[in-house]
Amino acid sequence: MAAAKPSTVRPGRLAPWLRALLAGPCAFGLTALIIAVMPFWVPKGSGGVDHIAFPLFFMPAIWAVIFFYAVLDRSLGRVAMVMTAIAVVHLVSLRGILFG
Amino acid sequence: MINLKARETRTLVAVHGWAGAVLGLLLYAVIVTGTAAVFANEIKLWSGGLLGTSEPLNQPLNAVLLQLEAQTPEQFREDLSVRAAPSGNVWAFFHTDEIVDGARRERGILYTIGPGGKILSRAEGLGDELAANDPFTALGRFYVDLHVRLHLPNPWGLIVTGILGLAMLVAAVSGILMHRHLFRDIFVLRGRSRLVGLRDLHSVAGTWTLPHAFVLAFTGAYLSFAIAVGLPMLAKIAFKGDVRAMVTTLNGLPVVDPRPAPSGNLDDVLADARRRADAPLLFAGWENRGRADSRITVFPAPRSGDLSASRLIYNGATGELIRERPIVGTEPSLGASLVGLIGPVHFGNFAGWWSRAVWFALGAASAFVTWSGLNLWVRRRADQRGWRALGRVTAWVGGGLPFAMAAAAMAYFLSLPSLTSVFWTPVAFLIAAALALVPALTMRSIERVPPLLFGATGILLLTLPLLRAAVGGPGWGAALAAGQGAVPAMDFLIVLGGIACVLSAVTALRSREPATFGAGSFMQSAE
Repeated sequence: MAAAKPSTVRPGRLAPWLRALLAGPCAFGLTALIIAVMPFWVPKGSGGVDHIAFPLFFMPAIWAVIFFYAVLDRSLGRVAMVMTAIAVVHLVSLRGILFG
Repeated sequence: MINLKARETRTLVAVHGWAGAVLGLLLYAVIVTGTAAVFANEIKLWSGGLLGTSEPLNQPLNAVLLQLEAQTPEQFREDLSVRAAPSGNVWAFFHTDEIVDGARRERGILYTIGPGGKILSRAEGLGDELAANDPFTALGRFYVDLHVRLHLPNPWGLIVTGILGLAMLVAAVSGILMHRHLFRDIFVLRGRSRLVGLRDLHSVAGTWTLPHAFVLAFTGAYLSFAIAVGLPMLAKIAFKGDVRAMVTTLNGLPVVDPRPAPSGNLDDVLADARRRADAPLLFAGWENRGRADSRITVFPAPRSGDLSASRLIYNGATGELIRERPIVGTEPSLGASLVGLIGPVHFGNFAGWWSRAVWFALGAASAFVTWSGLNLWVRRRADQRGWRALGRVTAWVGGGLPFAMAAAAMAYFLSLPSLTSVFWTPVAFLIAAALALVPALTMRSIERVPPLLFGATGILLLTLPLLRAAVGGPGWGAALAAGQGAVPAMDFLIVLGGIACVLSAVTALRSREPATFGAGSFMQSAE
């Protein structure tokens, strides 16, 4: 019999709620963070507005990618780690941008 | 077609189902009102009864505007906006900016100018309030406001409809991913069992409308969240709260030169703009009139074959063209092109009547997909009391919403002669919604509720063209002579819609086991 993989999600009462938390409010929050930092790395383009237009235009797509990843990845722990890592990187960037 | 593991498919089915179960009724409301809003301008023109011209800004206006300026208090002469009203008249709004409750708003005098420069009305106040209180566009605006923000106050209404857009996106994407045989299944309609038949109808209609649903969900979520959340957030972070700096980035740096200067001739500017745009003009905004830094920004409709239009900026003192610019930014760019696509693709107005007719049909199909999905959900859980209650609510909303919208139109016409349509249109909607609750709560067979309400909707629709004429609306001859073919077209389509509603209701109510939009065997795939 194969040993249980450490990354396999163990069925539990909390798991669906935690996944809903990650795919719901956390996905919204992470999307907002990503959108907030995008103007500082997206090139301004020939019209000088791409750094504003791109985050706004891709907002639904960014959210959808995060949502479906949070829903479909088998490992709840991995979802949490990946989302946390992306959030930390963006928070650090934002802190540097806003406060120097 | 798309091979996913069983676990992923089960997850997607659950996500698809729960997104629909939790948000499906509100989403249905947004889709149905959005389908009507595709023809919002035609509804305003048809219901308003004021026959203007087909291109209101393509007529001499300068002389009449000078007369109106002389009658306008001096504090409101700073800025002027001239708009092609849905009725075919011109709305001329002399105004100035003022801060009300911390927000910049426009206050002034609004004149309605008919063909030949005839002044039809005059009103004073804040621009957005004047527009909201116009009795002749109350019906079209009611449907649009219901779609855009469910008549909830800003920004909450936009946030709710934004979330619904994301829910529709989730349903569309999960719908694609969870279908093993996507292209084969779009031709499968098995009619033997009601539940299976409804599932196949849901699946077939959903698959056929998938591209449209995806695009509308994406653009709808953008339109809601960009205004309510995105722009304010970017202003705070990217521009450190400096909204003026953000506006300058998006629209270009304004020149400041307060020296007095004579005003240019608006007719010359509009004629030049019409020639350059090769399309009807929609709006012209004239700022800092009487100053050397005066600017006239003209917004034309897109050229035939184009998806979006450039804005034309003129020197308001000399009438010379300064530059053309895209919807955002000062030069064409990929970002401006993407943002410029959102409107035409969402509203379906990129190819005139034809694209809007297709958008209307696909919208109606999407409404069916949403509603049939909810029905499937509750029928599978018919043994559970809570879900049975949702079944009654689904029947009420499914049939009650179109009924209430038709009742709102009826009340609009009845109240138009007394100019109280702004009040009675939404009130009638609520009264009709409450009336529709009666059969939904009292009838034993829930499945007979929607066809009953659809039949009632059809009867109301059939009365609308008669009501329109009875309250003094223009006849077909007068409308066609003014170039407003939308009036007879709308009368015809509404009668057709009414007949369709009545016939489908009679068919559904007569059948022995009324299955809501019951499936018959239309096509079978080779299995």
